[in-house]
Amino acid sequence: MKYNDIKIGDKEKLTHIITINDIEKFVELTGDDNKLHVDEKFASKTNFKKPVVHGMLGASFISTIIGTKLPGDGALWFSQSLDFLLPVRIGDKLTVVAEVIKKNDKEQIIELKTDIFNQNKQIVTRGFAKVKVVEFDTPVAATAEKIKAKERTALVIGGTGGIGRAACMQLAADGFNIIIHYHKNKKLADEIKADVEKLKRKAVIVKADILNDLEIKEMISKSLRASEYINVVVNCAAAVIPNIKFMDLEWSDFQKQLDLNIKAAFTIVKEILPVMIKNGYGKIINLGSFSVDKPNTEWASYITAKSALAGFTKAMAIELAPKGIRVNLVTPSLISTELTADIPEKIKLLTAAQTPLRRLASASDAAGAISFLASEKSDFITGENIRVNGGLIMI
Amino acid sequence: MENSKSQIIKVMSAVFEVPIESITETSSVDSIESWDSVKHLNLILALEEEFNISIPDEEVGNLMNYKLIEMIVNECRK
Amino acid sequence: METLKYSEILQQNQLLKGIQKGAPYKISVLSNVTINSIKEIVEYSLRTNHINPSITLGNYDNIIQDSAKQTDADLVIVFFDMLNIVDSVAAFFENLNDEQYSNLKDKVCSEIDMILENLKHCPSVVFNTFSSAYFISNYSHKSKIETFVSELNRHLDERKSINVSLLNIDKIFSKIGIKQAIDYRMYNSSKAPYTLSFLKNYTAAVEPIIFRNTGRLKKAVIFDCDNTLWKGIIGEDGMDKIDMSGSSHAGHFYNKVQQIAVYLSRQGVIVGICSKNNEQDVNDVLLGHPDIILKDEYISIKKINWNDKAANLTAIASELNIGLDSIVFIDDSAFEINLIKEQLPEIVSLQVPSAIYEYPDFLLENIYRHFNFTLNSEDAKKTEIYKQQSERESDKKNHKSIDEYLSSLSISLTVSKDDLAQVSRIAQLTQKTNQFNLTTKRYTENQILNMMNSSTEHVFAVSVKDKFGDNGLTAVCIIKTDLQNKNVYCIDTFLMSCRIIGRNIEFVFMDYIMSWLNVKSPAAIVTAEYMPTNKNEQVQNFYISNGFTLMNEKEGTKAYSLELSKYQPKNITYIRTSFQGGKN
Repeated sequence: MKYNDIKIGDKEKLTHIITINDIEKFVELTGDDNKLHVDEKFASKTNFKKPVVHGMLGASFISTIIGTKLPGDGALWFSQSLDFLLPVRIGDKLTVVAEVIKKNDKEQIIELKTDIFNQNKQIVTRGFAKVKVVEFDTPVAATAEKIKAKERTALVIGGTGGIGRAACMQLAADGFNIIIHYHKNKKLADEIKADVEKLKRKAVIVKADILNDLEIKEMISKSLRASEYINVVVNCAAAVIPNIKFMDLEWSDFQKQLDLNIKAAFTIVKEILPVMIKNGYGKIINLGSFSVDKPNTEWASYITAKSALAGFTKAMAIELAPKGIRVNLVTPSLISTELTADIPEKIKLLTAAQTPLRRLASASDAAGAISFLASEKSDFITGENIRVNGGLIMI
Repeated sequence: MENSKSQIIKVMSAVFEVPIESITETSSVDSIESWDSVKHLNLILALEEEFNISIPDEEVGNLMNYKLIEMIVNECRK
Repeated sequence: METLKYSEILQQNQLLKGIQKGAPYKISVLSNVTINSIKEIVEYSLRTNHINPSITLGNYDNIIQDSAKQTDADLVIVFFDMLNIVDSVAAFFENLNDEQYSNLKDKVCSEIDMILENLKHCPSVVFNTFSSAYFISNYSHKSKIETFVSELNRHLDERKSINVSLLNIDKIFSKIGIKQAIDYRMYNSSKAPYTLSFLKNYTAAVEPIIFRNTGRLKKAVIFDCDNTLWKGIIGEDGMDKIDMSGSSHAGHFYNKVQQIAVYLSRQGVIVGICSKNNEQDVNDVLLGHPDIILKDEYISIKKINWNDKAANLTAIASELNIGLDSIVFIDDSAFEINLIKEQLPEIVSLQVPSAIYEYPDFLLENIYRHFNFTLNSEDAKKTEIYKQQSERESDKKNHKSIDEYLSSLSISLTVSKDDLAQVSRIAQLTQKTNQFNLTTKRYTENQILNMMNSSTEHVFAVSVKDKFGDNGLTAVCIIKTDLQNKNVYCIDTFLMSCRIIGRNIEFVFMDYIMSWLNVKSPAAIVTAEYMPTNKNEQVQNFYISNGFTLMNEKEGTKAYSLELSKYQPKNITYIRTSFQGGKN
């Protein structure tokens, strides 16, 4: 955050549950294996009765807030006071709150009240921090290269999937810097990063489980630290589509698909929106499914979610259009990727033979449509569904 | 099961009245001009006679290109 | 052909495409079911028999409408299938009450009538008989469908015109079995009931009719002797050991074959022998073996010597004045058969099957394919006639000049014009005569009939007798009045059976025709044409030698013209002519 953007009263929060793992890591790192912290027997003989968490362990999360949120980039933290008021136990849920209480314009210094509460809303640590807010040129993220404001950046959710990867490469070729989101496959994400860099574009990898709102927030934060502006978000995340007979379906199956397709998209967009609104320009591209137009049996939960996504796209489109944010859908037909590996060869051959353009869709076909929607060429297109299916269905 | 490839190619060449060399893995309804509904019927009869199989009604319409024909013929031979 | 795979038939058909030149033989197949797959099979059959096919299929279930459009076709085949008729009846057939049954019968019968009426000017029609074999039958009593079918067939038989041949498909069903003939699944999905097996057999059944129409029926069957007419080798086994006895296990198949040969002879087919043997040995058998059925009197020609059979068969063809492609040759030796196939491919060469019990049926099947047995009285006399021919040939050698010889024959001609009683024989001559035939136009009985009844067309026929015997009706001339100019007469057809070639009968006939025209219209112009074929080269100058002038030549066809007043009759005195029969 820039000094001028910070106001007195600005607050940032962070929660963390202390685990035994945390203790072990802290002990290993610092070497402070004081029996009060690590030995249950010993602790039971003291007044505390149970092991106490290192005070600094809890307090270190103040570092997180200051370093990543308030003021985040540009923070030069030069003073911190701490009073440990109550013992913290393993399993406690700590809420760290930092609030700007004073500003020194001449020095560009902010003063923060930094308090830590436990799950019972008791204050366990009180502190005050003084932070100098410096100019942006100073690199903060050590691992990622910062992307300059004037360059265009695309965030590809599910960048390691078939379509995701194709989208990363196509957008890189179009001149975008790419933020590659991945969930588990870091190795592949690194590969894609290297490939994008070969095209002389910048690339950053970010990890998140998009079913977890918190991780999404972290991911967006991290992305925004790497690039001031994110112009395009492409939502290519996908999971293997379950085949469940209708009578065997439960609501949880629907919920799962809705979470993956709608909630994730919703959370991602909400997080990224402020930046796009500030720029007055943004492109959000979702991935639809051919099965919405031509349903398959045993796919009810998936089709429901993808249908909802289509409606969600339009709802977002109409509301966000005045703010300069275009929201569109790309709907490819069957693509032969890892996701569809279990579909029998014969079905694939038949689909290809029945398609007017006589082949299956490829990931790069989808990426082509994504590329168009990401570019200025489609600036007057919003709430649209571009079907990429070789003419298999024409509406 | 012996390779039915050469037999299929021979049958297709005879039914569509095109040289054997012109039948390839990518041959399909689109690439063979003479392949119309009458020839399609002849194709079914000739394949059934050649391999001594009976092609189910549902599959008859799927015999659209060389690959599918090979797949379906091999299925019927089991 | 029934044993060839469909894909092989298609492949061979493709290879043979375009080889046949000449005017195509046009066949139209009309049907109320889907029968498209028959096209290539019939094409293949025709092509392997050197006929250039042009086959069109009518529209599905449009027999009546299509039958009205068949002005161009040489042959129309009608598949009026019971399957589709029964399908059109909503109710279960056995449940029809008398009124419904009667209405249906009337409807189908009137449809049959319409089709026959529309096709009555067509040169040749093949109409399949109705069959109830497709339907589940009750083995002990006659179902309504069976009754219906027999009534339809009776109606068809009664109403058929002279140009219609009925083809009994029940015989095919019996031969291969209804399950092998009908594909109900295909009928259900595409209205295509007939299996490849049925279509191949059907094509084989139609072949003889097509051969008859196109003059491709055979005229002679030449047999080898040893292990062909009897079991054993006469030269080695001797008279006692060769076997052709009707009661012996091995011999009775040969016995049956000989009986078939006798049958052929009686039907007017030339039966001959070509054997590598001492002549005496074979003659001893023919004249003296106790079990011999094929006696010498049935055999028109023999070539028994040690020369190669190709030379012998060529000589046989020449002496009988028939083409090599009119001969069927039967031998047990693969060597001889392959020799003839190679050297004389026009001959149909058949090898005696190794499974000897199949031999008689094998022979009979081929006979039915290549010969036609609708008798006319001429045919029955043929064996005798050909025998006479052989005698004439030997007689010829005794005379010094041809003319001397000819006059010694006491040839007399009887001319008839538009004689309805001769329609059948005249049509047959147009179909079979190849060598002395100026225009080689093939006509069916129906067409001859129509010409006789027409006032602008005249059909002349000549019967020939000489001191050796009666040759029968052997020359035909068809005159047509030019429609634009009544004073111009065109000689559409002028032909003579090869039996009577070389006796100047053609000139006497021409004299007669010209004098008849002279009476009708002295100032007339007579036009004529010579259309060359592989076989009629010997008559290329016939019109020139009759005083005609060549007017033009187009693609080999020569057009001639003559002012009747300028005709110079040959006045051959040693041949007498009289008029008898028909309209003058």
